[in-house]
Amino acid sequence: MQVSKSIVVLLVSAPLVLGIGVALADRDGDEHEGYWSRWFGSPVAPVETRESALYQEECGSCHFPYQPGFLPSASWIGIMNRLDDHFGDNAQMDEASQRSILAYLTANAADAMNREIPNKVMWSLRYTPKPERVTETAFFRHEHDGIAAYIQRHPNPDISFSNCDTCHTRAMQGFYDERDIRVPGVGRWDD
Amino acid sequence: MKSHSEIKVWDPLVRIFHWTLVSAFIVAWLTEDELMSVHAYAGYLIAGLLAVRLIWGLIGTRHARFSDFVKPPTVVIAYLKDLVRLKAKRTLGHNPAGGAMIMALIVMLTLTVVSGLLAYGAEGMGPLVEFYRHQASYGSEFFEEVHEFCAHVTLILVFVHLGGVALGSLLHRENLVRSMFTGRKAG
Amino acid sequence: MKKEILLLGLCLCLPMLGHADSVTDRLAAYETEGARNFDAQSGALAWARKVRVEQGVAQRSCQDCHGEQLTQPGKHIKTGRSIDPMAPSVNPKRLADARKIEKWFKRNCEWTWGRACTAQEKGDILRFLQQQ
Repeated sequence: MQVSKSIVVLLVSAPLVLGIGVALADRDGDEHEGYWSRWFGSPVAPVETRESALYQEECGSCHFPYQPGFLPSASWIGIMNRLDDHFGDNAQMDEASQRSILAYLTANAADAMNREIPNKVMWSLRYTPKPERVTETAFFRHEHDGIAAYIQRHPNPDISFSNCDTCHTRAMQGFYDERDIRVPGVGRWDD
Repeated sequence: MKSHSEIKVWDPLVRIFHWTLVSAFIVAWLTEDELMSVHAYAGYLIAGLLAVRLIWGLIGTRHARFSDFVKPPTVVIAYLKDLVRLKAKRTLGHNPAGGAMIMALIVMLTLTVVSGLLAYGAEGMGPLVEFYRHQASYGSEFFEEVHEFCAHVTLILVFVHLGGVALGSLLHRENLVRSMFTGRKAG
Repeated sequence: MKKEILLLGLCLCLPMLGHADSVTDRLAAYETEGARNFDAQSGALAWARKVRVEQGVAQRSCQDCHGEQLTQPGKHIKTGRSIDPMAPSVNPKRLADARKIEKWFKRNCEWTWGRACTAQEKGDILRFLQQQ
């Protein structure tokens, strides 16, 4: 009978599609985030959490407090060990703060998170194995190919990769999609 | 307003496939770049749906089979000419123009899905990652652009499809949308 | 109910005491290191002083980042990030926390002058900033 044939095919294929989906999703999770945050959370954990308040304060005065998910823990360790020469600046702090921040960074680094951006950062390590800074990863460069070329042709001191939130209006909340971008002097950016 | 002589035209698989595809496409459209995990899974669902529909188009019920509604271009063009003159003949299954639209949608959706998988794989995500193990650089601008282009073309097709359904419904005084829910048409 | 509100009000005033306290606390610490007679005028001069930290690099001063009008926001000279106004008169958080005072002295003296500030310099600068 034709109707029952189609129902059988449906009953077989629907659970198959759903089951494959769940199986693929059920990778080694980490303690820090729930199952749903990977689907509906921001692609990189927001900076504004209780634990990150110290990081924001100590590391967000001179530049945007980059979410830890943008670099692997090895890179963060390197940075925290060289605060006296932090890319030409002095970023030293008291030992307790330093230890606390390092713990926060490594717990939420790209190799500790299972979200879209950290996963892409980890993949991009094939091409940039030991990134010293967020802007050095192949992932970051790929995403900013277009705007980097634009800035070369139209230098603008207001646009700086040190301050993600100049263009990424929801950077502090951990959202970096194109819809929220407003480039000074240009407006929306769609490439 | 159920007439006594209503005929079963669309089997449950065709109907569920159709509306699931509609939902998945909408979800994919809305979540692109924002909720990429959801976007990708909507895409995988569309891939699965297409695979099921292709098989069903070969072995399914009468009006579900491609042989029922896929006609040569001359027939499609003749039908379109009749449609413009509001003289097109009513068919029980998909009419020739509808059939052509279905094939076009299947092709564009497939291209969208494949380019999406390839773009995703180039960033270390999704099932095609292993093919990119030896790629020289991160990401693929090319496949991202192709994916975006194909998605936009698909959307245009969807609008044309909606227009066609509206026109067909008006012309033959039947509710084609309702038929795709109930599966029945007037005899 | 009135008693509780009064008590709550008093407690909320406490942070204001801390404000004057932090600077006083720091000045006392500097005096134990041998500095004295802290003076806003000297602090102002120190604030504006330009220092060449290394060859081939432009001279630096506190004003480069904090701006010349301390009641206005400054701008980090390298990253361009906005810096909240330095003047306690418009920004009550400034000079309110002794730990932060020392932290920023440590970082910024190193970077701006290439060395740690002396206790005298720190005291003078605090006196100067208090007046802004």
